Amino acid sequence: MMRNRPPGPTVYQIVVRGELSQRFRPAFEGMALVAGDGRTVITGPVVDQAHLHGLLDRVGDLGLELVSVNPTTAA
Amino acid sequence: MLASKLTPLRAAFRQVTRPRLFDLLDAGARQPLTLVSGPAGAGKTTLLASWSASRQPPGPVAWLSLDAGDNDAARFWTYVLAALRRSGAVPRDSALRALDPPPGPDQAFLSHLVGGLAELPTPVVLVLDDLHDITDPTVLEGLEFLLRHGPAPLRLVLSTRVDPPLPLQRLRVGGRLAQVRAADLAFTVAEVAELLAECELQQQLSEDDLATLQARTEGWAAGLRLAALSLEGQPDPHQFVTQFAGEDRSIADYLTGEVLERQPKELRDFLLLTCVVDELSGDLADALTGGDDGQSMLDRLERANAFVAPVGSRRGSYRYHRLFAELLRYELRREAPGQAARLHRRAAGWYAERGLGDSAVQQALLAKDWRYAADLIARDAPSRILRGDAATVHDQVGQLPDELVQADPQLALLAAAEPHTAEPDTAESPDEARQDRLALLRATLGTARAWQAGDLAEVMVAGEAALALRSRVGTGSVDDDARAITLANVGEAAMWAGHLDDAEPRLREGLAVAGRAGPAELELACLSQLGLLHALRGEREDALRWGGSAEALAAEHGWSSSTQAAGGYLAQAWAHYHADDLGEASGYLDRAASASGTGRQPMALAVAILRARLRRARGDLTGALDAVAIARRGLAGWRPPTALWRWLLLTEAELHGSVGQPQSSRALHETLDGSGPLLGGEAVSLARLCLAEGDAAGAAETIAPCLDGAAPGGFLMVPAEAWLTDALAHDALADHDRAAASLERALDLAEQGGHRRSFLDAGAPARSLLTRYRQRVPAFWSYLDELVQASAESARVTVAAPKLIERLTEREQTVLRYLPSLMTYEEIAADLVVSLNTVKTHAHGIFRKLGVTGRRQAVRTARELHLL
Repeated sequence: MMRNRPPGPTVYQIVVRGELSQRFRPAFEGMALVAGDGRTVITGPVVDQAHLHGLLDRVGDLGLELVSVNPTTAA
Repeated sequence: MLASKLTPLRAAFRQVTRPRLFDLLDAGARQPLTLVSGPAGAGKTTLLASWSASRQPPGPVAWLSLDAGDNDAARFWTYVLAALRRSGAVPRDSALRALDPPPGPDQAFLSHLVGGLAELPTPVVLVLDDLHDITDPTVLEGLEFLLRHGPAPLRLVLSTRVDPPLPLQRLRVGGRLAQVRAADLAFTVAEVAELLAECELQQQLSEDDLATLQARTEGWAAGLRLAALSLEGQPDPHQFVTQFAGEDRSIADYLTGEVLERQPKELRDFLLLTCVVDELSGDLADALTGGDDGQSMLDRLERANAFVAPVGSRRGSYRYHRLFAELLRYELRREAPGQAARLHRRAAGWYAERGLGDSAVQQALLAKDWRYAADLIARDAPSRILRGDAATVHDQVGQLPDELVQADPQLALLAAAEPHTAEPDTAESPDEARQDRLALLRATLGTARAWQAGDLAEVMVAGEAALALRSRVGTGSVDDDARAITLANVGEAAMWAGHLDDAEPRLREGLAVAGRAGPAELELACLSQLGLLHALRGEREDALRWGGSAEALAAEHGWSSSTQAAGGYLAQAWAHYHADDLGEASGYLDRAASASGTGRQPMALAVAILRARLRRARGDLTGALDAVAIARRGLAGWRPPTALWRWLLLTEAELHGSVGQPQSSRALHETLDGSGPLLGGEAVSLARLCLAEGDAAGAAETIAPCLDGAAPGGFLMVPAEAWLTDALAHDALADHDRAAASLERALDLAEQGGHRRSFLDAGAPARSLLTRYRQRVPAFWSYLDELVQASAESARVTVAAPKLIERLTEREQTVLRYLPSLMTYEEIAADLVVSLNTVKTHAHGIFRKLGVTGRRQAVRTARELHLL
């Protein structure tokens, strides 16, 4: 029951605790950072698992607390 | 480089004593494994470093800071061994001293490691810091193996951001795992107060403020440190805390901004310009900033307890705390996009100028200056490959863009530098100079592959080609390094192939190049081989001189048990053997054996051959046959270099002759002839076999070319031995005048060169010859009488090999292991935590049971009895 993946990258939403300023934008190149309500949603296209793990490592490197990681349904 | 990995970072900040965590770690260190896990900046390293420096751990602490570059089994275990040896937990005679991880995974190595650890006299705490950087499955499997076998003295302490893929559940259930997790690491309010105690404004903070800070940061160490820095010079600290608590921003984000904004501009610029490298010195800081106050800025930062920590025990070397460096780097990218690449490029140039190839390449790659990185990689590649570290070259080339590698034949060749990869077809370059460089690289790779495959003939061919090309391509200091390795390799290969006269100039030149430009380990290799070469020629004085230099150099660098030192020991063992000092010979032979290891390599075989000779000299013929039989099994199908192989065959034949199972010398002669003409030393052995068969004429004929120097020498062409054999042959042929003349020559040579053993090894026939011809050689009477007496004694000694009067107790065995060291009885007592008298009592017990009167003699006899 394998479903064919849609071609191209999947858009992911990574939520971390705390509001991030533009300071950390370079750490998440190509992603949109939307801060508010005591948390930050990092949204953007993720090409593969290696890319995703790289982003999560960066969250760890910066001492950020990870809240959730979700693929968003393609529009 | 190594020192900074094997010592914990000294605390950059005021130390907070955290007894509750020390208690957890103390309890953990009684278990096989302690896991310290928590996010970045949770204070794992600081905690472990201060605990290690306290007197609490149950034994010496071996420290290893890991990083992503350690995902290679050989490198990882090399560091682990270095850390263990450095900790002081490994006695001189421990198996761990000589252990050396092979490239690639190896179950046997791990078993030896576990065995060596199990025998350590005291517990040792091995701290692996930042284990989350290790992702290589082979390394992790190795760690799992270590944990599964859990040698009792080993207490492993792992610090990591993520739980490692190790069978923790099993250990947890067995109660053999202790854990310090993020919740434990979090600072309590009391600890926050202590942390801020140094801060001048701390008095202005109420209990509530401290509680607020603790709650807002959730005790996160890095956040608290940043908060402490932000508090410096705040007009109203209470106000700051309140504002911080009310902020919804991420802690790291908010506080980085606060801290950086508070710094004077010059300091802020300095931080941003220098954060691109991992380890910083004043000089490197200047190279990055273009200023000249790097050292004073670093001193200032260190004094202010901010951002940087001194590395290891070296002065003037600093490191940013990892999390801060990370934060600073992002700040740099935000403020000055493109600046980071320029800084990395400057750092690369700085490292390259100082010959720090690894760091230079790493920085050039970070700068994305591919052409420069490629040049740096190619420059160091030959010496790396020759050292057997092709994996790093492969890895470095792999980080370059494919198009570049494809377009450059030299890089394409390096991309395939792994010894097991086939060489790619590369396009011929039109440029002649480049073609030469390419050919040189190919020859260098060829030498490394041949060496790895044990094909010494090919080592000589490829190595000579590389040497010839190298003189055309031009030199630099890095090039010299590769040249010295090639010379040492070609020299050693020629020596084992029996071409001693070709080997000598190569080794001498290698020594000169290594002494001028190169690392001391190459100097050691050349000295060792030169000593051995002279020993194989029977030149005692030179063997002792070169071998002694090798031994001294090895001791100076702490490489006494390295493989490079083995030749120097074997050289001296032979020299003492020739002079009939069997005890000294046996001592040096043991050192050669433990340094060289066993198995499919020339040195191990050469060690076994001398072992057999020594045992035969003591009358232990069975033991002598065992020694060669074991060596033969160790070959496991490997065909050693011709001269060495023939030496083994002849040694076996002579031994079989001594136990009354003579092989036909003619058949042996034919076998040997099949693999090339007879060398001098071989002819002497063969002539002795002829004599034993009663074929005196054959013996005389075989020996003739050795006497006038017509045959090339080969191994153990000892002139005294040749003339003695000639005398024995002509005595049997009843040519008494010739026999007397040859005997006189033999006596003269033996007395001059110190070759008593030549006469003693020839046994009863030689004794009889000496007695019967005494009247004819009046010039040598006193020497001759000495030889006859020694020979007669030697015949008796054969029955009285040393033996153990009574078994040693366990405590005595422990003390015995210390005796070969240079430690005094007092030091041994301190090390074993017993009284001086106890050690003396055990020592005397050992002497009595070994039937000796002193420490030196005890060591010698214990070695003979294989108790050591």
